[in-house]
Amino acid sequence: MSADIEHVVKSKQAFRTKLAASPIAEKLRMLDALRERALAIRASSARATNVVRENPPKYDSQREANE
Amino acid sequence: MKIQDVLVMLNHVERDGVINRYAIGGAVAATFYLEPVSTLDVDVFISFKPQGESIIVSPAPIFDYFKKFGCKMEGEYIVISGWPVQFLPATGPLLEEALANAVEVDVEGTPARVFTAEYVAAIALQTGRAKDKARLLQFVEAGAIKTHDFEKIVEKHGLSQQWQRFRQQFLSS
Repeated sequence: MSADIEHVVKSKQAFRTKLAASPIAEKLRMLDALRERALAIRASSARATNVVRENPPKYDSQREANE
Repeated sequence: MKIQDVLVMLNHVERDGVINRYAIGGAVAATFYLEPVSTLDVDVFISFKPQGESIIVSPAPIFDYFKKFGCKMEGEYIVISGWPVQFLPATGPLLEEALANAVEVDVEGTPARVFTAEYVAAIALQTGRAKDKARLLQFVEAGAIKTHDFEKIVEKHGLSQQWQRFRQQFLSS
């Protein structure tokens, strides 16, 4: 693995330039794929998870308990 | 889910005379000039057909047209081949000019009319949200716009100050 950031930036730029130069039909097919992925990510993040969440106590609940 | 099907339908709706002229804008238009720009919808700018004496234009004929092809409405969108498509009236001098000067691009045998890169960039400058500024920066960095043509549009539409500010903020080293 390289930590040469300058090289990484140049390589990313070259990849973007290559993508931009792709035939338009190919780029539009990439848009189709990108949209499908974005929708899948949205759907999965919207689903309920098994993660335990701590709910904040009700406002002023401590005072109510003491009363 | 195929955006090329959207292009086919746009040509149909224009050929059948429901709209006068269309051109694709936004992220999909940007994709014609840059690397693919991820988006969830398609912005289509149109000039409406005059409806008799009425000065109020209605999108109803467009909705009715697409319903016949089984397309569904989702809020302000018409869903064509899985893609939400928003039809936006080209109102205001910049959008009107962008529509008039839009170019036809061949997509594997299907013609698609798209705003030129210079107009996409100028509209982004005018709209001015964070994502529009990011898009404009992409155009500049990729060398995807003809600077002289772009600056002529910017000057003509009173966007010189915004352009100056943008250059100071993002392009001065």
